[in-house]
Amino acid sequence: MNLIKTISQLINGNVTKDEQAKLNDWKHEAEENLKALKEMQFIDELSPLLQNYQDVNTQKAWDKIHGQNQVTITKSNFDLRKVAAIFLVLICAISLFYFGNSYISNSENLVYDGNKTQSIQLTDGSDITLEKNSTLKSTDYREVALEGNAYFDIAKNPERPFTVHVQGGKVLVLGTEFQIKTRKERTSISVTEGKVKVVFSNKEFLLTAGQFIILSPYEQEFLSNHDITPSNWKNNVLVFENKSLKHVMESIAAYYDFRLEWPSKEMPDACKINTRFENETLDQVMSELEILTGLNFEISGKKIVIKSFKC
Amino acid sequence: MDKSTFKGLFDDHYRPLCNVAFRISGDLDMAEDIVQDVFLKIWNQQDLLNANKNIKSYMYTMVRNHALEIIRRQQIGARITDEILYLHSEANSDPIEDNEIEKYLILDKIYISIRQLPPKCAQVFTLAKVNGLSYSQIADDMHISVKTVENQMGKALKLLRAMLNNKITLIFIFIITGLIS
Repeated sequence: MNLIKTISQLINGNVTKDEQAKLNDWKHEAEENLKALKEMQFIDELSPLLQNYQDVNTQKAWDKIHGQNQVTITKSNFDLRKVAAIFLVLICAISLFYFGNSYISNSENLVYDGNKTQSIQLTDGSDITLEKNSTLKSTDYREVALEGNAYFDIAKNPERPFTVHVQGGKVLVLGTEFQIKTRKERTSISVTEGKVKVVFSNKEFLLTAGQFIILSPYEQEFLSNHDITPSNWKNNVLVFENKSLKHVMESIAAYYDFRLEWPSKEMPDACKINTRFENETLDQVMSELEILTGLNFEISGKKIVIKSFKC
Repeated sequence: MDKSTFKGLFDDHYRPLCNVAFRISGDLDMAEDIVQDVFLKIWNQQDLLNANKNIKSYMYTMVRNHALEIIRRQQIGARITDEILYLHSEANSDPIEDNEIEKYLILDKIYISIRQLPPKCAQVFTLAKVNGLSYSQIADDMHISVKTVENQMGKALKLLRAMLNNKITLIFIFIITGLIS
């Protein structure tokens, strides 16, 4: 009997009872036979996945990433102080934010920090841009703790919200883009896309795109309509096209993490501002606006107070 | 990780990973970009690499999720297919496990091995298994008898099994196909 042919017929579902019986006998004759049969069946079952299988030029791809000279060893610049700092954050994170999420099995206990702005990609597809001198600790799958400033672009997963722990509270998101800045006791959160739930001091806040909240143990303040989009924030560029002065000022205040005091709601604002700021200090930005609009303002503490302007 | 280990990882997984991304995105250029990006990231974030014990799972999960994420962004406002929604809700939450990675690797090995089969054998196998034609359709197409198709199929399976011999572990087959009655 041609067994291989019978196996082929078996796979095709076209085998006679007699042949099937013979195959069964053969199968049980030796362990090796059974193994062979299973392996062939396995190949048979897997092969349909080869439909539309794509060939790629692995060597060319290697040359490409290699040739760009991007494959260079980046040495981790660990020093003892940094290790101590990481350790401290770790302890803080564990003691502050351990909510018993033990059902999540694949914990990723990673710590990111450094003196350069860096882009972090999490295994769930989320992107985080972490500003320099900030620390982000991935405490678990879909869960991080932040100290400092970061921009989050979170992959959607309705089953498991993404959680960012900050001092005194946490931010829960389903899949969205937002920015968090923390400084000592003060935390500001601004949302670019989607919805974000903030839990802070036993209170809950729901933020939607364009909204922005400042949290501290003493006050929680809602703001909105600022203009920080991921592209311009990430590249340190603020771009305004035909925008009102109020709009521009709200964006700038948010960008530099200042609060804005606008004269009054009734103040006419006919300014049409077209400009772009790149890596400029607040002073430089304000003096340009002063030239453009005859702006009369005052900066006191963390507040920009607008007094008057001409347009 | 030294450079030769990294190169080994690249050689073994580049095409399988591209196909993971391609199955989701349907765009080979985009798939290759995603995979190259992930490899660069792995190389440039050595700390992360050392902290992450299962680098393969990390790679496959990253590639899949990034492909899904790009598709999601493209499809906002457009029609989202049921399959993509399914992939999103089901697969996206879990990392790709070793078993699944093994499957991708074996699939890739089958792909390479088919090319090494005798031409007629390869043609019969491809028409039957990859294109899903029945034996009688193949017989008609190739102007051969059904018996010859059966013989060639048997031969192909036997040869493929020999080529893959050390790749398929018995335990793995039990997991994937279960016991043959």
